[in-house]
Amino acid sequence: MIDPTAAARRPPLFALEGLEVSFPGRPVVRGLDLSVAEGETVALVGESGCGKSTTALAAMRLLPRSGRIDAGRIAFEGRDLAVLSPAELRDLRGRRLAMIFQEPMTSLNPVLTIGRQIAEVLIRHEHLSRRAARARAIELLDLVRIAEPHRRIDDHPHRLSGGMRQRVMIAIAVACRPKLLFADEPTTALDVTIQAQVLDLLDRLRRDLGMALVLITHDLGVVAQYADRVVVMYAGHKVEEATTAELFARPLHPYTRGLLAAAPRLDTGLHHSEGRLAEIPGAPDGGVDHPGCAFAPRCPEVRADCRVTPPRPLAIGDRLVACPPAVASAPRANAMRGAHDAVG
Amino acid sequence: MLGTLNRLLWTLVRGVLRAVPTLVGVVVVSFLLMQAAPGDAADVMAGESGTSTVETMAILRARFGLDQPVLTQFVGFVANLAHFSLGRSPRWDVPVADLILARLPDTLLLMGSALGFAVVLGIGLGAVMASFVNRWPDRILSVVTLLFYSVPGFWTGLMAILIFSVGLGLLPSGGSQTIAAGLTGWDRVWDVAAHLVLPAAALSTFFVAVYARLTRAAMLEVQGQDYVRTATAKGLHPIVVATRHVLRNALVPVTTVAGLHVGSLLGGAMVIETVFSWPGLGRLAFEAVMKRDFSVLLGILVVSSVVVVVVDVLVDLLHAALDPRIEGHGHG
Amino acid sequence: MAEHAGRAAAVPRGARLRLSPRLRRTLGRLAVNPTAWLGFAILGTVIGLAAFAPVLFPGDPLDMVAEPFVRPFVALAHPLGTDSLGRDVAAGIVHGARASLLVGFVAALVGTLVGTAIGAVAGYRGGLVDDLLVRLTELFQTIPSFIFLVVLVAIVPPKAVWVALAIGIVSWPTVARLVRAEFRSLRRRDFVLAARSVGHSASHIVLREILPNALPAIIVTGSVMVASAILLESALSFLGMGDPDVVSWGAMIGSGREQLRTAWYLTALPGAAIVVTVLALNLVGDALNDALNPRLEDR
Repeated sequence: MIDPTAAARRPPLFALEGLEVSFPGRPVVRGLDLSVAEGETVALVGESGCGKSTTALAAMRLLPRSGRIDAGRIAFEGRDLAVLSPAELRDLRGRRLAMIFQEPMTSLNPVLTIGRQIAEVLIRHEHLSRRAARARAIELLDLVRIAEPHRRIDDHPHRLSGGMRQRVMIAIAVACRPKLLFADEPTTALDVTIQAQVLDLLDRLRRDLGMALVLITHDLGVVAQYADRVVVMYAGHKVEEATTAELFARPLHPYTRGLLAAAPRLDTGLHHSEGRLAEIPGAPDGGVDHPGCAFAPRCPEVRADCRVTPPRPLAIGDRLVACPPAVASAPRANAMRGAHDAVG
Repeated sequence: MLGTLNRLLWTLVRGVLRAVPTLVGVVVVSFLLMQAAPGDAADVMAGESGTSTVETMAILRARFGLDQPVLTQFVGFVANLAHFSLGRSPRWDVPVADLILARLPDTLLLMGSALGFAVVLGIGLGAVMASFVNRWPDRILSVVTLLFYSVPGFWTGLMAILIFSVGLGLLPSGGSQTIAAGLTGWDRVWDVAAHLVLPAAALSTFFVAVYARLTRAAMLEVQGQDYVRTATAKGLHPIVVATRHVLRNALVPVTTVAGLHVGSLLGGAMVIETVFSWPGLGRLAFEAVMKRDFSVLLGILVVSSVVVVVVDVLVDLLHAALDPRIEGHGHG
Repeated sequence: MAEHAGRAAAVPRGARLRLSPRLRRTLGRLAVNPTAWLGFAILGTVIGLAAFAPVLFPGDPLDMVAEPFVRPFVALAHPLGTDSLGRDVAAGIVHGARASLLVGFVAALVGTLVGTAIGAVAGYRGGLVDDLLVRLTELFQTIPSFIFLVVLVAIVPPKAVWVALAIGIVSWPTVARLVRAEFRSLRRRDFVLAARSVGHSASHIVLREILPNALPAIIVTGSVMVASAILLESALSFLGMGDPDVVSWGAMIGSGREQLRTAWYLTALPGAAIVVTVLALNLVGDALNDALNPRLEDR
């Protein structure tokens, strides 16, 4: 984990500004701001359906045909990905920006060898010859800790386990040393025993290759162990953002508090497999018929004006909370800094 | 690489083993049909010549073994087949196998050309339709393919003759080459090709529609797969994604169905050959029906079934080459 | 539709016919599909013409009624002209619709019944029975169907009914494969297991529980089979192997073909009739498929 204050001082590598994404008749991401510094790990957290995967897909411009970016900037290395031409976008994808997905079982092409699928991205972006790309692919398989890469390289995906397939996906993603990697629930589909290995691998590669990592997860244990900063999403909104230490030490938004309360023993044994989000009463259906806070129907601390005024994110020190009542009752920034020191 | 060869070898062995009972079945069915045929060749010949004495009939029957008990005839039939002989045609008075083998290459040429044309054009149209799904190229091509699907091939052939031979005088309207032109080398190839265009195109229309619709459906199915998103995330060009990733996977179901249609392609060839006076098996079958020569007709049935079986095995091989998940012993 | 058929037995006789929600949804989807309307409209017209053929064009369409080679759109009495024997082309086409539709529907019915029976037994019983029936189906799929059909028709008497039967016999394997696949997947479903545990007989389970659920797929295949049967029949009669006593589109093309250079309309018009009819059937088949197996618009 790098020092969060140092990370905050660096210019952002990647920033979403007011991102709005919708599917027909259904807004999914609403006015999201997010910034990622070089080499930083930012976790996007929330229940399924809160728009965290859609955010990453939109940032890569990989939304399904029916999805639309309605507004917002996607700033990356000084350019706005939201308005980039398809050709410029292709030049960035796989080279400067990469993504790995939730389902390793279906994310690899079943009729091509894994070597071919890794080499493909090298030939595309680094203009290597087939032979050179193959040699690099073997190195990459070794890098992601696949045993006997010389033999494995000619295997088709169906011969590999889920964990190995996800390692191959990681090899493809990091092949061209991207500056930013989106990992969309990279271990959700894997065995518990494999999850830690894959996440450790990702974290090591992030450090070694100097990439920034946007880790999308609903697993608070994963967040606590790997993330520098956390962005909590609810129904397409960012409800809270803080450094990992601050968030776990003193969650401010009632939703975040609910998430942490639902994940037992986080403060005692930080094991990611146990930190699942458990039940908060109700469901994040997003279909709120009042202009106010989307979480209001499920919020244990809801007040009358919550349903009337949309909650604007307010800064307390270097963290943000989209819940005026929570901010009002929050201790001073100094006190928070103290809390952070105690944990970190 | 050795693994691939091994897999293909297994697929070949499995295909051949599966083909054996089918071929036995074809032989039994053919023989039963032969027995069911009303009257035999001797009746027809005697009736035509008008000099039908009981003696000449008996001689004719004895000559073709028609006086033997059914089981003996069946044993003879199978024994003949075992020697790649299909018996002797009463009407042409030559071995049936010779008749058929003389015509087979022309039919295979016509069929192969039509199949190749249908596969290339059909997959191409299907890929275009899938890429423009629900937009105007897709809508227009959907109507066109449905039309292709509904037009009898022989009528397409006749209309093509009307337009391209009678009207425009561009292409020959019948035969497989210019008779007595004595062409050699490339001139001959060119001549045969010119004769081939219209019948092959007419034969292929229906199958173009079949493969186009199938390719469209298969590509739409594949387009939604996660690995296509992975390919896009690599920064590949949409055309590379569509061909290397989508089409390659979509071809697996398309080849299976292409194999299933070889039989109907042979049947279609029979009608098309009649339209274009193409000297193939189909015309021979037509002539055999007219002359009521069931030995030739059933010989054609057996040989065309063998062609289908051989193509099936080839399609299995192609299928295994396209889809590495097929392990050869049982579908993986 | 299937559920409706399945539950029909439970509805007391005399009770008012109520459409199941599924059938209502299906009909709703059909009603808003313009291609379905087009298909049904054309098909309805063709069926209407066929039904009223004796009224519209009384007498035998094979009779000579005028001088030969009257061009179409010239003589009011013979709007589509006459052929080389002075037979009225319009009468031939309208009467030909009877033969085509009759043969098409009978053949599809025969093929569907045989195929459903074999597929149902194979799919429900499984095991050795299934293996044998699959082999049988494969065998009949291996023999090129049109050549098989020609052989059959050469053996049976040249009557329209026999031709229809023969077409049905060569086209059942497609249905059998489909029905087998449906039955194989349906027989493991909960409602079948429930029926079995209650002690219903195999025939009850097959006919009342599984078959109604397989019906949508069977209906779609059946409608497409009518189209292909009409195409097969037209090819047969084009080759002169149809019923010589019945006027049919294929036979009209077969005889018109001789005058392709001089009187092309004798070939073109009956062919157009085939195309329009088969196209209508395919439109209906596609629309039924979309209505019965709706795909989700978005994933």
